[in-house]
Amino acid sequence: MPRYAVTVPVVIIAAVLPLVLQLIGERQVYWLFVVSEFFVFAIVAISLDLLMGRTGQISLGHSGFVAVGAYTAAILNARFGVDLLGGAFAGGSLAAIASLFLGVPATRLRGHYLGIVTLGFGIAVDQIALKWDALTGGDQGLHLHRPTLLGLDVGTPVLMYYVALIALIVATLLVWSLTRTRLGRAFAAVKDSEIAAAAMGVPVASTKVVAFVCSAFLAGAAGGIYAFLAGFVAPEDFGIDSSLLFFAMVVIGGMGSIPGAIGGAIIVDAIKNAAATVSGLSLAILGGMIVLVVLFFPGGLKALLRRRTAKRRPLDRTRNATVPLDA
Amino acid sequence: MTVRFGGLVAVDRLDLDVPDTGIFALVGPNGAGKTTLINALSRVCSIASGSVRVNGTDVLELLPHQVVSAGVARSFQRAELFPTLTVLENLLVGLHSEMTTGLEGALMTPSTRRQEKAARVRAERLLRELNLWELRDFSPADLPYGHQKLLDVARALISEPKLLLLDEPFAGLTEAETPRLLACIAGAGRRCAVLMIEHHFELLEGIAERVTVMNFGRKIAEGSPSGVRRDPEVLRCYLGTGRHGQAETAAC
Repeated sequence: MPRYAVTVPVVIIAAVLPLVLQLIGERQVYWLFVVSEFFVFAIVAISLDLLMGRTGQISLGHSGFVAVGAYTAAILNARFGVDLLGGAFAGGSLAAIASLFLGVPATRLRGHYLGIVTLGFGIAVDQIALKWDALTGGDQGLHLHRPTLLGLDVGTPVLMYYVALIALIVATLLVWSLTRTRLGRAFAAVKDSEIAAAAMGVPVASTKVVAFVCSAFLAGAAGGIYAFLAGFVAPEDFGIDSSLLFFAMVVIGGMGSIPGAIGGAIIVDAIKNAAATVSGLSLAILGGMIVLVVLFFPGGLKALLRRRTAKRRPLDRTRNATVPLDA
Repeated sequence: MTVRFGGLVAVDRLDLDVPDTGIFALVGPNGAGKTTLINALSRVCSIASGSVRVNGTDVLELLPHQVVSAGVARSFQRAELFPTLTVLENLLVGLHSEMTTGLEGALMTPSTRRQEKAARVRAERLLRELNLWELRDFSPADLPYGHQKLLDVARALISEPKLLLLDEPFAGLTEAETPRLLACIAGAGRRCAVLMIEHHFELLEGIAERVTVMNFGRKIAEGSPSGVRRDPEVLRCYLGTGRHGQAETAAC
């Protein structure tokens, strides 16, 4: 595990939060939903960071995959009574299939083609959801049954809170393990130098596709969980502005770090909720923040977190340092 | 082999044969086609005609990422390392084609753990040999340039290639940094064939068995380092009348 000293207290705080809210008593259901929703968004942020931060590929339409996952789960639940686990898995799988169709042609081209393709996808998906009412309920949206998980009723805000928390922990562990093994290293190698990655035996194009598909699967699974959490899906939840929110989470988080992505998700989600009363205000603030972070603080939150770990401090940054070689 | 870029013939009907072990050097003025030759051998650029065989395998039928499995590994002129990863992880990428873990790595399955552990043992052994052990958790971007070049060579070496291609391994190194890399390359030359681009005849004389001099894509001389240095054609095209082999200024 990365740094027990930080992760263990954070997980404990998250685990006892419902009790604290119970004691405070006021607007407990609202706050439970806000934090649960944050957990789901953090999964999307982690998935997007795996693609952007780790592999260096841009997705500007990640909420498209969240939408595919959410609608898949909602439709399967409303029509066939599929439970939360099945819905999340099916949602992730369908999003992964969609990403395969986008990713195979796009990642073979160099540059920002994937960014353009995903932008188009993100714009298209919520419009399709809006117009295809026979399947999606159009602008009326779709209602889900009370969520169950492996036969257990998890239909209370507290239980859904724990479902979302556990999902975030599982997603974190999966991505963290992946980045510490062969495939995850290949992702980073492709981002840093395609030519050197290929010389080391990494097939560059297919590695990008695999990263994109992994990322879409996680985002789709998060979408499936979101559908059960909200109990309702409608096109306006998955517009291009929510793609921009996920993008902002990753950029503010600093790219290429799981704690950074989660931290970025906290900041963006807090701004989104705080500024929710004025339409467009949160996007204006976040847009400004992205500009400031990119211009003045490209390392984002990650750099702030890392500055405190002495282990990574460089010995000598000068290129031609005359450090004795056996020093 | 011949390599063309549009109408430009970068490598012109060059024949090169290297035995299983030993160090072989390519020298020549800028634009002679040395790096192009290495790029062609490692499939970074495609060749117009000819063939490249390593122990009977035709390298040219392979995709760039398959070359390393055929036993051809390379380093880069400007140390193309992976700054996102640690020094240790950079070496582990060098073992990519020998390992098999894919998505199941996310689940840390027993076979993943076994493979990771075995790869780490190899990488750690190499890091200790090269005195880079203390730096294993740093990003290569934070290392002095000499250490970066050493790591670049080590990353190619860890896959235990049959043919190791080094593109100016000593360029940009200080005098203090040179001996360790020299020892590392000399060690490699006892286990595999090393083909390296190098301008410093002083360095070559100690270790290289044979030097091939290229100019305008052609081989103009071949022989022992000291023999080639006295070759009249080499003097005229490359070394000039000066005493230093490193002068790249004397173009034909």
